[in-house]
Amino acid sequence: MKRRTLAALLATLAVCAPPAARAQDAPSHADGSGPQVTKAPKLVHFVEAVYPKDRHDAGITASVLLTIEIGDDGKVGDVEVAQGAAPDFDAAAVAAAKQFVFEPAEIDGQPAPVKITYKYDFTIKETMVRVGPQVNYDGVVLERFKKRPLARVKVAIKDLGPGVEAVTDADGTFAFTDVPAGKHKVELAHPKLVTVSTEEEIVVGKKRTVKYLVEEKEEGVDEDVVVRAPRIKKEAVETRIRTEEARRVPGTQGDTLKVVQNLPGVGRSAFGSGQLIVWGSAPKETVVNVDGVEIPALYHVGGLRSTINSDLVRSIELSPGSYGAEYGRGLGGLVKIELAPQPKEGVHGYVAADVIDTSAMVSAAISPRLRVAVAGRVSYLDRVLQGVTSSDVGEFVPIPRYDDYQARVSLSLRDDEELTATFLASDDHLRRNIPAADPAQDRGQNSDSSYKRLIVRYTRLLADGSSVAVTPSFGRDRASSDLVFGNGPTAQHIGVDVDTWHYGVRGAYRRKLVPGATVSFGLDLQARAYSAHRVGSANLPSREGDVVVFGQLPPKEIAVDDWDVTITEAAPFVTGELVSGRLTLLPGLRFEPVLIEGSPSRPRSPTEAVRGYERFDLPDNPVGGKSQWLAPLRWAPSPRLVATFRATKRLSFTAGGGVYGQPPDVEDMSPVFGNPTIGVSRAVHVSGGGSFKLRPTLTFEVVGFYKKLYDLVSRSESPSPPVARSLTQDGVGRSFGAQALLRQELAKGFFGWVTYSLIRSERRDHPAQAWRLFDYDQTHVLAVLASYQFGHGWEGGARFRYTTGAPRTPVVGSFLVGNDEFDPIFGVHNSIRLPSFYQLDARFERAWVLRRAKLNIFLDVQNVTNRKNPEELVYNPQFTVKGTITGLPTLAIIGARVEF
Amino acid sequence: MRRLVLMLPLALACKPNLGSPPSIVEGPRILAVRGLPAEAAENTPVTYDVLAVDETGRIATPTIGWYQCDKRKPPADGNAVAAACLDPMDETTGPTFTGDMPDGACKRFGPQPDVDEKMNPIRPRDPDVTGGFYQPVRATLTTSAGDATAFALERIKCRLTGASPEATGLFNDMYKVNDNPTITSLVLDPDNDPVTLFARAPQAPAPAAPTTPVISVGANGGSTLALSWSADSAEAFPVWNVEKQQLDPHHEAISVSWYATAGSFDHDRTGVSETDFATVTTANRWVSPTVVEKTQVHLWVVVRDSRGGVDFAETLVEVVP
Repeated sequence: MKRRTLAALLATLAVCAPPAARAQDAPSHADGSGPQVTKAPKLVHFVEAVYPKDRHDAGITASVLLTIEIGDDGKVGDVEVAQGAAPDFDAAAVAAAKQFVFEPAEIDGQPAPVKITYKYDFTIKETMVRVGPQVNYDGVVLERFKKRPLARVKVAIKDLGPGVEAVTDADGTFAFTDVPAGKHKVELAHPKLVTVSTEEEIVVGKKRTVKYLVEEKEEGVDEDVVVRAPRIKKEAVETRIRTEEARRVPGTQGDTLKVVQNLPGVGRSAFGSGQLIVWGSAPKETVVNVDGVEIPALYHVGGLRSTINSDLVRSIELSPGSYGAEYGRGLGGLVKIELAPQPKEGVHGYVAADVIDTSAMVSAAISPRLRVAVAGRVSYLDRVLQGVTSSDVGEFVPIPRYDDYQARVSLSLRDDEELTATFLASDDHLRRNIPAADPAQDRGQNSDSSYKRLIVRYTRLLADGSSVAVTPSFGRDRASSDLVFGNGPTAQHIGVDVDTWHYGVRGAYRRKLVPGATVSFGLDLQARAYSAHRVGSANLPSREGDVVVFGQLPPKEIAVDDWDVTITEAAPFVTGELVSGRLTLLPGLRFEPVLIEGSPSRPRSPTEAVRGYERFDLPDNPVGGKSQWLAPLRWAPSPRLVATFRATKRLSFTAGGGVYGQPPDVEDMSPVFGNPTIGVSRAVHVSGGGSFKLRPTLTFEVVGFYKKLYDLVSRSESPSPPVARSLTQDGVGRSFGAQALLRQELAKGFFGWVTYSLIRSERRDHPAQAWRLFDYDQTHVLAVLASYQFGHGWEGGARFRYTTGAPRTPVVGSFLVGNDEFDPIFGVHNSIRLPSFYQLDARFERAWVLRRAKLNIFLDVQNVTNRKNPEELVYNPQFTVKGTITGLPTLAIIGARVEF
Repeated sequence: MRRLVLMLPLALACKPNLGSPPSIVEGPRILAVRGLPAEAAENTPVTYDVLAVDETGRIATPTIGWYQCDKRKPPADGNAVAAACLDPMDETTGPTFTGDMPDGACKRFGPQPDVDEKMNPIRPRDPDVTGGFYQPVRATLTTSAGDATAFALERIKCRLTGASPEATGLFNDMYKVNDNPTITSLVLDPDNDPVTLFARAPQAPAPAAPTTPVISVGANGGSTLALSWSADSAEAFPVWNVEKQQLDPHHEAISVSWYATAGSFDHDRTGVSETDFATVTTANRWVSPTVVEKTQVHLWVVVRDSRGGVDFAETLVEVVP
């Protein structure tokens, strides 16, 4: 009933523009004295074209230019499309025009056949006619990212009492009739949604038509993020909707996932590294999950692109800390990538190319229940640069080559029951050869890394509103690096090869116990089997805390080791959601015992049998200290808690915290280079802040945080460490600070944000040592970005970034040693900084809507002001003269993208 | 799809200007420290000398403070010697120094097992790619214009560890302690009108440094310099391959460092790899400086083999406007 009412209303809204007929030039005599049109045809019976519903719902207007033959009796003959808009618009216009009736044209005073051109405008105009009960508040509820209609969402006007509610139909639409004028509290509810509230104002004589963009819950997961976009984003119907806000951020070249680098709390990674530095944590301490499954890298080597096709991604969320109990294995932040559901009909996709790479994606609905999608990307920047840059560029700026590809199959078993299989693969390669006149000074680099993941995800929404999600996964990671110094058989090779097999199962069940109380529990099991090989100097690859200087040759010593480690972690977790009035509590517990098996426990020797090891690390929570009665808590599950208090409709406060653990890095467990007894490192996060909604789409947030890290791995401070104890685990760390975010969500073609973070991060490698600055510490991080749609398909944006330079250790002298090489004498560890970084980027884009496709051409200009940003300190060979390596100058990239 | 791949003007990061190259001597420096013999067992004597120079030429009787460091560096220290080796110590002063390879050097800096104060076995030192272990010997040059510090890394003759008795026996049979390489000649423009700037007969001592220019050359002109060394400079030696648990035969590679008080070289260093061990010469191009009056320019070459052996030679040319 409601749907029919809505449809009727929509029909009255679709009124074509006043007829704009004009007579075609009539034939005339050459001398001008021939027949003359003495009367133009006049439209006396207009038939309204049927507005294509999906176009109307999407707010799309069009004009169709028709050629209409009018007989001498005023009836319409042939109708042709002279300039079409789209097949459905064209057909509707032709069908309507064929029913037109004209007063015939007259030539020399006599009715005569003529041919005219007629422009049929499909426009949307709001007209309210008061005839009986009228719909004065309606709209549609769409999934936030793909704009998929959401059915069975209960929309209730709470202040009008119980029962004043509507349920969205299959198209996601709903409608209310004769809602009293005034402000009303509206609530959207659905088992798959976080219940959200908003406010609408109904004005006498006006209909309120809205579009709600709502984000679905992850099964078993709830709001665990202190700083995140709101679950609901409401936009009025007149607002132009853009689904790819992130893609339009300047400097990202259209890569949605690169927007993470501009979020609050995220430091700037060194040029070409693509690392995520979150709230003063090391890059390896931030975990990236795709549909709940850990992947080793969010970005390709160099940070030029993400390893997952943006068009397969539904959402990306960054939790800098204090996240919920469903996730672990990281001391730092958490990046959650949720893959998008595929369109339920048709074939869709895109092809894109720029100077960096080419990518494409195709998604097809094989049947209403079966959908498939494939995507791929291949880079060629290295080959492009070879032709346009000097040969010494590679000495300072390694240019990687990469590719990635994905496949996804989704099968709807039943309503609210789905099985999805996703395959992700990514490869990176880097090759550098720098010859020298002295072969002993030749240098080379060969690095390869890849990962593959097969993720199967089963989700079911049960009749009682509870939900189940099970995600088994399987994969393999490979990483190899070979640095070559010199030439010939005695060239020095420094390399690490790690081959990892990944096995995982994540399962979660969630149900509402009573109104205001929801519980979910699950198991996050992950096993990883590593085989590692390492050769070279013990100081390379360098690790956080090493005193190093760019360009210094490695020591000449070499060692070799092969070792295997299997780390199995079965982490049961339970979380709750308790809502009481304005207060929401999200408590959680996560128990993280770790089984570590490895071999060998001591360096291999021809005279000793290889001996392995096996140990079971129970949680060693950094609580209780030496207190005897608190001691049992050290083995307790790691607690997590997020609390939100909504003080007013606009103002809310959030606090969170928890204990986190991270299994050892297998590269640290070499008996020759590291320490096989390395165990789990721990951290405690505490954060709190507030959010104030200045306007419906303008929000200001501020968050303060403190993190303490325990059992960090560092180099042995002894010049003569015991065998198999080159690394120790008595380091601690702390980072604290605050971040602020002023964010304008997409409204009237504009979006943008300003974010500023003030962070201090320190480490103490050994108990007797003093605190020092963390290698990645950046005191100030500022990002300002904005994007605006100018109309006619044009849009533009800009991004400005400022960060404090990273700490460095000064060189205060040098000495000659060995083979005509100088070694530096260092000053105080991390006592100076690189100069500050600031850069302005811009992006311009033009879109054309074609018949069945959309073409975008963009120009992404990085470093508009051509600032020479120092990226690293560099010294002459004697370490007597200091300079800086600067980053990229102005770099303009043009690319094109065709969507269909 | 019409592929649109365009690139607007692009320039990338470039090398910063870091002043004069290391081949140009602008102040007091030690260019090389040489141990004789180039490899020594514990408790056997070694004599060290230096090539100490400044912008006016070689310092004939340099004031050098000598110190045999006994401090280990942490395994992952990026420097070749421990920072503690730079600490002030009692030094022996003189242009040369003779001292025994310290007792225990193979435990301290070599592969032989050692224990810490708690009697825990400590991690043994790692060899370099030639299988070598080195005793650091500090030489500090003191001048009125400033000091300069250099370390000789004297190769220690230690017994092979970690190999089977058979491999150890074979290694001992094959291994010959390292000798310093021997420079035989330095020739200017060898392909056109060759002029010998330095020459030494095999097994003969190095000639005294020239006090008058060997040749005059025009200003701002390029010349090829060809350096030769004796055929036995690049010696053969075995290396115990820990990874493959086998003995690998190798030859020494040769590196040549070029220095001058003025002008410029195409390369600061040249050399030959061990696969070209039969090649006994290398060339470099030197461009004389722009001068307004006759100017003497000192040229030095330092030859090093990959096991730490050193030799050096010098000459003097006059540049005329």
